[in-house]
Amino acid sequence: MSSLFRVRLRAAVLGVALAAQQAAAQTVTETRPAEPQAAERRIPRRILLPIIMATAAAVAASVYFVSDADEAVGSYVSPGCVLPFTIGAGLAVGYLMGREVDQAHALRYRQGAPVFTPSEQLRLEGEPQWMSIGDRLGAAGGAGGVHLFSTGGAPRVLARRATSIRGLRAVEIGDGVVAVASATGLYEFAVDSAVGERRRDGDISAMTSVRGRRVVGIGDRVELEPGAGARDTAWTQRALGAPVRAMTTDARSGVLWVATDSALVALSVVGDSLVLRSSTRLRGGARSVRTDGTRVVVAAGERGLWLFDLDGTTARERFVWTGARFAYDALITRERVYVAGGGEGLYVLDARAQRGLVLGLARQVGFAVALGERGDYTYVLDRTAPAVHRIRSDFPLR
Amino acid sequence: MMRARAALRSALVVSLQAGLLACLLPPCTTRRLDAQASRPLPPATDSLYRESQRLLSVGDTSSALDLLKQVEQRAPRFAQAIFDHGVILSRRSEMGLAPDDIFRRRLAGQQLEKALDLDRGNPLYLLELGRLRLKTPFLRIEAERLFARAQRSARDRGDARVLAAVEHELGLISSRRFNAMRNRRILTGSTISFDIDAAANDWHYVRDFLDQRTAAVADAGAIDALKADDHFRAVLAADSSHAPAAADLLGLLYETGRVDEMLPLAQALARRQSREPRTWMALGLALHRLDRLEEASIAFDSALILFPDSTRRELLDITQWLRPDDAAHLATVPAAERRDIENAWWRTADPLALTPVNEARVGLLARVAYVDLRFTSDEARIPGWRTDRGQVWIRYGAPGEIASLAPETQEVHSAESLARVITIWWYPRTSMRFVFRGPPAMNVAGFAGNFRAYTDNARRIIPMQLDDVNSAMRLDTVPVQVARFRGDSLVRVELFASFPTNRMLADVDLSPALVETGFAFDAGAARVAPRMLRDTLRVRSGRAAVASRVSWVRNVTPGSEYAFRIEARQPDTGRGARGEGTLGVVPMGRGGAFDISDMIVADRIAAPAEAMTRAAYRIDANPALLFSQRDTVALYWETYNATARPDGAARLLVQVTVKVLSLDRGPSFTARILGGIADAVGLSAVGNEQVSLTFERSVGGASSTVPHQLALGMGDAPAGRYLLALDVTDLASGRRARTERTITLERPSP
Repeated sequence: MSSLFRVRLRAAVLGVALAAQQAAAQTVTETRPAEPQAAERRIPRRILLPIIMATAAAVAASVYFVSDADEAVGSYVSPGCVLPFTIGAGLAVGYLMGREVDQAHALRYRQGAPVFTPSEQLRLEGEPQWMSIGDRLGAAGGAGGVHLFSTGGAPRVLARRATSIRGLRAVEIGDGVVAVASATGLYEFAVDSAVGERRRDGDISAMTSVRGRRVVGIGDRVELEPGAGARDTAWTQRALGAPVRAMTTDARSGVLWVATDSALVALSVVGDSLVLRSSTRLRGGARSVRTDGTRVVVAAGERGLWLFDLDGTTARERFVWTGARFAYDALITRERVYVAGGGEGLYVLDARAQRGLVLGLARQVGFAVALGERGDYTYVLDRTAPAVHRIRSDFPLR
Repeated sequence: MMRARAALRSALVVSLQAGLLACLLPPCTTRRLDAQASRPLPPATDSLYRESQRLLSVGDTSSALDLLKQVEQRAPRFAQAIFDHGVILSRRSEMGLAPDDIFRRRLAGQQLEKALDLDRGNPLYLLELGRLRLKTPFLRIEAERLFARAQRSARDRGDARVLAAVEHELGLISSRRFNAMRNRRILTGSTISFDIDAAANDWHYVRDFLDQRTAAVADAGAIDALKADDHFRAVLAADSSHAPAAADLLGLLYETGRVDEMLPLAQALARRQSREPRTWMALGLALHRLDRLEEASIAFDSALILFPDSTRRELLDITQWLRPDDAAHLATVPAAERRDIENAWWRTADPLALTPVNEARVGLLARVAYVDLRFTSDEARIPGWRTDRGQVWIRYGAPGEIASLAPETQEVHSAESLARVITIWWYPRTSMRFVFRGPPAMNVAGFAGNFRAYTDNARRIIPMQLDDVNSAMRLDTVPVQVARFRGDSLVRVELFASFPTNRMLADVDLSPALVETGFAFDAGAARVAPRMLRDTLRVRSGRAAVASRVSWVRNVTPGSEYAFRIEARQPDTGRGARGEGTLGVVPMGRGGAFDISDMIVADRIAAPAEAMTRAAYRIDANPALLFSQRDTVALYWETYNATARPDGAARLLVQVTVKVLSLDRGPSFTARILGGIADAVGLSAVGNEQVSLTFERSVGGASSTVPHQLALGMGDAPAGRYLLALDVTDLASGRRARTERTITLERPSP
């Protein structure tokens, strides 16, 4: 065995030992139980990067094999020493880099494999937090006002309303009107007019519309706007016994779904009354509730997400998914449930599965806080950019 | 020579390999001891050990240590006593390289390792050894490795309590790294270091340094934040009552801008840990950030009730927001007076008394809550509000810019600087800057260089700032003009205010817009809580918005000091404006002496020709005393007790002087007198800085109170500040009285 071979062998052993030591010292551990998720095909970077770095190091060190290289460099740095050392260093550095990348990847995608969502992006201003998507227009609002944008094609900013209303809690775009709910009241702004008006007072926590009539959540009450031409201008009230957090309307059936701190309640409007249809227990407060007519999905912040199947106006829990650190909003689109996971990105779940099966996680959409759907597209509100991303609702997952 | 080099290289490689393999191999010499360690203690030794535990629980560590040594002598294989001994030594040692601490840490380390030899893999022992290693510079990676081992061991043994403690330590390591990295900037170009002295002496330096010689590192620390998040949540999953982890997780969520996530967690934790003041403070902080100030105020008050009295007093001590001299003086006043002053201070700080909460108090407590979460150092055992960074933050709020620089490697001659992270806080509005220095990956930092002296000096000039509180409300100023007149037996005080609804509603797209107003006028200066008289104005918004002028009249008893406070608030936007002041009210024309009232400076004054009472005058006062060039300045005043001549009339000599106080351009001007003053005579210019108008006026003697008006056309007087002085002499008695105002002529808008 030549001395050169022995030296190289030792260097290789050293590299392996270093790698083993690093692996032993690895401290990152999973602290939350992993939810079911689709398998991910990915070459660990702690394998890939050492190879790349060692190759690069070998290429760099090959200069020592150029004839007369020794003379230029000096007496004690021979090619036989430099090559193994450089490659070893490349391996070690590559391993350390790869390990960091793998750790970051594992932390970011602990609940779902990465998916790429080609999107059209519309930059906004301020700190938008809420979004509503209509047939032709969308509205994204928060501190700094409500941006109106087109939804007919690539999103384009059209106007800004409610520029200084504080404490925005919800926005809803309707027929030529954008409604804004806030800690100080309910406001309406005509889309084509620069001036809006306060429709009513109150610390409004949630808002929706049922057949053209506004419905708001104030404290533990749901209040219904009087019908057109009604003599009594007082809003119909119905107490639900727990703070109202979110509400939505099934456009087809007219059923109003209200999420409180303790229940998912179905109400329907009969004349000027709000009639209770069903109540299903929720464990913890909700941030948003959505329905596609056959299912209801509730995003409940750190408590995750509930998916309910509907049997008439009765909701039956299908699964609870707690994979996201915080579920800001959720949306059912055909076979998928999209979950706005804040800084984690946009989770894609299988809406047909009996458990919360994660199909992927899209991080390109930034800090996803609100979702909306129109036609074939899903809109994702990115709070920190801030921007609205328009993605195809059926974008390929692989 | 070649052979020698090869041999040396070979020896080096082999020794490295051996070392590394030794690290990888599990220790195999302690199995026998393990078996012995599980034997029961003899009763006498057991009682000794129990006594040591009792002493420890009452804080008598010296006696406990003595007993533990006896236990160790009698039962040398009893790991728990050895461990307790090590823990006491460990807790007594401080972080750093002081010889005493090095020695204590070495002894503590020996004890803990000995205990580990006896009870291999005990997660608690590993945890304590890791904590000890954390105190030793350059051994933090080793500490992390020990915590990881402890984590695995605690999981294997199902020890939730120790697992929670280990997860907390791991979370703290990641959290500190995140905090050290999140504002990291790298030096660019030829810059090799940050000059702390230059930063203290030259405010340009910091701004230029940050702009031109550094670049921000994107997403720095993001992974560490995720790791810390996971670890802290794991702590709470294992032990939901773990208050430090709760506080750390809440602080992390706040730091990463995830306040929406912080709020429900804080609410849930406050329910679970209802006796834990830090959790309530964190809840208040989240609510404050979300602009839910009333709820935040309740949360802070709940926290303050739970703090010990001494801590509560410390947190609410207003001296931390005063100049050092004032703070020292306040310490000398009697307790009751001090309480009055403190109450008055909080009321004055309150931006709007119209709102149910004191936004300044809530804002300042939010700062305290933040520094508690962010700067509290378990290693140094100091709460965040007592740290250098905490005190600056509490005084001045969040800096406009924060930058941290990688550990210093150039200052090899300075142990104070070498391998220390430099943190720079920059306040753009005031150009204040603060530089801190601390060890990397530790939540400890103190003032760098001369910045302690700089901070003391800054406090003398600017003791505190409420920019963040006021900018959130976009607090504007209500100009107020106050004039005092003689009443029947009282003094009539007229107050004219101009609510800046033009600015408050300039970009508001609501119509109509409502503005709540409040007016308080009380005796006792600022020491009483203002009792607001509320009203609502319906005003235009947007470009059509104009300022709204309102006036009040109060008849008050002379001889007291009075405080007024005038406020406006637009409820939809939360914007506000306020004006306030104090005035002394003295009797006018006492004993029948000739006297003069204050002067009302107005845009217009209208009155019938023979108006002889104030009620007959319609005065459009100009509360801001602000006029445009070429405007006419209308004046109204009253004289009292002029001596009537035999024909029943009194003669007064009136002199109006307009003096330049400061000019925007050109020192000379001419004033022209307009109005219905038929007897105006004697206009004379004094130098080129003032003009005066003197005229004699005959007034009827039927009433002792005589109203007067005058209109001054300012002609082409340049923009600037002018003193309007009114001297009136009763020619019969020779008595003279004077009143004056300062007005401003605005530059024309470009």
